[in-house]
Amino acid sequence: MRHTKIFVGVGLLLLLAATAWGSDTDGVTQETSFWIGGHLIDTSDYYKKVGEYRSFEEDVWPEFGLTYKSTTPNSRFFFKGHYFDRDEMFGMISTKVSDIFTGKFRYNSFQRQTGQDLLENIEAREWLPSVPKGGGKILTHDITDPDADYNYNRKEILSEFSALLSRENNLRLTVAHRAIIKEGTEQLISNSHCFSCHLESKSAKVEDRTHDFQAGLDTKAGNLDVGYKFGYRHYESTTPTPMAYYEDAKHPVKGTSGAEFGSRLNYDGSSMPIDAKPKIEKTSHKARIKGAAGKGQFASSFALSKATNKLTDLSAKSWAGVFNYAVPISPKTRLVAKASATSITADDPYIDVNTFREGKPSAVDFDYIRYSVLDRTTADFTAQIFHRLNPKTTLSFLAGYNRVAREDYPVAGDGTTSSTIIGQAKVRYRQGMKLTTSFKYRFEKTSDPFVSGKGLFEVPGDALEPVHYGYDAATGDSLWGYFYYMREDLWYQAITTEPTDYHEVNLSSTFRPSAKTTLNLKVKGVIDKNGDLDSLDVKHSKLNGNLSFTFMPDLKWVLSGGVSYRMEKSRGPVAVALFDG
Amino acid sequence: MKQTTKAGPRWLATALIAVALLLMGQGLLAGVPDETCADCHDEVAEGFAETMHAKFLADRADLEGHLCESCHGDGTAHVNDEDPALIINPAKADQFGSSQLCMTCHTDDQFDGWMFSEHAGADVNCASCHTVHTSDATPAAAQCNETCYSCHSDVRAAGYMPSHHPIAEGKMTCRDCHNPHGGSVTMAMGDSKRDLCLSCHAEIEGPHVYEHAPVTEDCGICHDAHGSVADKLLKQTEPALCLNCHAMHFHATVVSYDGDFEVPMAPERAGTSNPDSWKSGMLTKCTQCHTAIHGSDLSSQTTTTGGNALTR
Amino acid sequence: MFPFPAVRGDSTIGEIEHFGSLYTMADYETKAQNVYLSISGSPTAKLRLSSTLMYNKSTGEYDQVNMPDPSIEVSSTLVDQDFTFDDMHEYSNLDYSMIQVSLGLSYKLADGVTFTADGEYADLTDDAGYVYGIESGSLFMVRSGMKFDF
Repeated sequence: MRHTKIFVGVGLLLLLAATAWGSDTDGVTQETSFWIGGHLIDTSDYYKKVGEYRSFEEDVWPEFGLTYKSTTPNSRFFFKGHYFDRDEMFGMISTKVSDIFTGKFRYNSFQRQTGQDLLENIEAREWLPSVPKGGGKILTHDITDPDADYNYNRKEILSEFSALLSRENNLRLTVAHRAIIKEGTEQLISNSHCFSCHLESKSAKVEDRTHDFQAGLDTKAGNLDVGYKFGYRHYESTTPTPMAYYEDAKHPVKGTSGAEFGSRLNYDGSSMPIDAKPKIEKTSHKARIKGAAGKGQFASSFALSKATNKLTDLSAKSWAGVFNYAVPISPKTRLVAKASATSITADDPYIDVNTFREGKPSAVDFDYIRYSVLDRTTADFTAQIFHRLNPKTTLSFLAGYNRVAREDYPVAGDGTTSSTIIGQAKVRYRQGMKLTTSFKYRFEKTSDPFVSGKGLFEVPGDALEPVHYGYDAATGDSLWGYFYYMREDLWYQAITTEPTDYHEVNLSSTFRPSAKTTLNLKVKGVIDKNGDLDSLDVKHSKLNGNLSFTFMPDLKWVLSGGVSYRMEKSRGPVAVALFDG
Repeated sequence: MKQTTKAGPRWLATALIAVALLLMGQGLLAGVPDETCADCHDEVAEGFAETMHAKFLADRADLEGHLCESCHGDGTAHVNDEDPALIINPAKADQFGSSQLCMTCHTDDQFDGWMFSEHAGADVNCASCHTVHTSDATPAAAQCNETCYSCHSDVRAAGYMPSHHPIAEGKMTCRDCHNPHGGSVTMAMGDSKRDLCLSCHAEIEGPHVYEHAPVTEDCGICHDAHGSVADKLLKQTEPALCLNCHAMHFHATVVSYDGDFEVPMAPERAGTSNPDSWKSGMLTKCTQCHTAIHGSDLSSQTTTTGGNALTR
Repeated sequence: MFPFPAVRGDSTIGEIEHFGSLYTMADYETKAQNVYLSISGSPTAKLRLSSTLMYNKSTGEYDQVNMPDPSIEVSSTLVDQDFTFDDMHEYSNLDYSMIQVSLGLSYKLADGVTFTADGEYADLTDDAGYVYGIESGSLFMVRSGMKFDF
């Protein structure tokens, strides 16, 4: 917060200094508008949904607003501020001094109501034939702070400055800072296994800070515009990490078998941190170049970035390159080609997990290396032709290819590298100002779309070899069986419900029957399915229709309105392991 | 003077603009002075005098007295014949060569992508959103969303869904996430949609020890940023959304007792169960237990998942 | 074709039974209708009026989940499990309707002095409470003040 205050303070001084310096006492025009009033808020029943983004202080409260605008022949200064209450304010200052200096400062705060999950569905006891009054597994919850009012205040403070350092080559320095501050209370839920499956809800303070800083230089080099920008982001929570107590592992009914249950857990009988919000730092370097190439124009950029989780010291490094080119092929035809590639490489930590059934014949060490699902290399290419068929009609055709190769992705078999081909055709008809209509069809065909690990289905248990887990106390015979953990190896991991075939049609039309009336129609339909999973019949469909109008009978009145309809339907699997619960 | 609306050939406009751009580069504009334009377009001239364009370009020696022509090109032919087709009208600019006019001065990186943008491809031009001849050339924050909604009416409707970003409440604008000029968005450190979301939701960036694959892939797999029926901008409510990729919890098949119960080890946790209780417990909202759904650095309790159950 | 049938397995050995997966297909559907109307104008040089009306109806519904009968291939040791999910579609269905009305006026009392007043009413009806309970509620706000231009 201290850095924010310093940056904001220095920024405001700079703004004022630049404005004062740029002011010309001759030809100054000033406009000031001051509003003072008050508001009364009243609510009934549950107000947190209907007013999710509102602050509520019932009763009458004062409210202020001020707008000030000053222009001189070579400068402009603009202020706008509004005070609703202490949680909801807005303020903006912008200034421009010739083409030498521009500055902007903006403050915006609002309240968000988040509601409380009552956990009422978390209350159950297993029925067992041997214990008809209820036995076996137990599911309970506890709300430790039932009257808590969960909400947070979000403040955003943005400062942007730009200064012309040299007019000769248009060398310009830009500096920007943004702070996002979230303060309030949130609901935290912890769940403890064994003993009884128990969810506990409690309140926790929220104090999140995100600082973004950017600085860059842009200049002209011959016919090229080139620039460099450095970015730094810092996120942290300044509240102590909340703790939750995880009970001793033991049989929920008998209170026995502590060691047996405990060996299945990474921790028990202790207070552990929950909802730890790591400090995250990210730096980026981005170079850009824009200019003419042949008859066309291009814009290209290359960026390097690194994000580091300071709690775990894990990092992810990435690079991204973009090259766009637009060129007229003829007076009636234009080509736009875009190519981009990215790569992300993240650290792969070693995970140390408690030994399962330590000291027993079926003991298993679950330690493993967590290969990051962030790791990937992507490539995109699209080429789009625009052709003016006649003065009223324009056609466009797009062809594209997208590839995502997920290195080290923890999914067996196919599904780690997705390839998509894209095709799109669009026709646009314009009859002066009276009618504009466009129709678009787009398809995407994906092979091996993204797969979420730990798939939907398990192979049958008899595909696994049972393990030796002990000896019969009476006979001394070996006991063989299956354990929960063995299910982890059972998932079919190459199954996804993400689509392989995507079809979209889009109709958009603007009709102006008179200078006073505008009608707008938009219809969008999407159907996608996974053609690789015939027996699953996975498909999604969307239909979105909008009809709106604006009518201005005279210069005094404006009527506008619209109706919209949106339907999204998703057919997906509902799967459950055939398992003894 | 009565103006006609006869449309001139686009190639002529393109050629005119090309010439204008060339002359602007050379500082050789010398057709008709601004006063001549104001003779007929007096209302436009009056409003234009209040604009930043007029004020900031007034002292440019190469444009002195020819500010109108700095955007409209040489007006000589138009003045002589009074034919609208013989003057550049940026409001009618399209992607075929004439939408670059404003970009000759507005060169910063927010415009880098204009020529390659969806807007340019749809023949949207600067005048579609900006009123250059009045003092408020840039749509103000309050008007910004309305400007976008005039074409994107479906997004306006989505903004009134039960779960939405606070755009309708005036706490955000479309520009917080979209750059209508085709360039990058403030503070986004990359070009992917994920980078865009992380510019505000930085806590999700990670990298985390325990990851949830779709979070690293594309936020749009689970969320609809413009608005949704389900909470938290989720495309579907839980558990339907989760069941697209995951089998339901195996405890969902547990048969429930019907009646009051006690917890032998903790009598204060007594409760009431009904025949559907285990199912409603396991199949209502997965994130009641899997709270750290965007990734976590803390191991979950059971060893069998390797600590990767995202429960704390 | 999918490499395995919906119901599989027959293994009864050991501490824990495990047989494979049971599945069915179910539709999840969201629908939203939205109507808005806005009128603004200046009937006189001193008076400016504005009003907006917005109505939204949104639902999210899961179809009833009809699992196949697992008893065909499943050992008797799973008899005490319940593989029917007839009611699960009701746990998280959503049904909201919301209406928002706002009215505003400004009246110029004198040069540089304007009286403003506006009001807003919003009402949400939740016909299918979720884990937060029934979220029906309404809010009402009125605001008035004076604007000074100089």
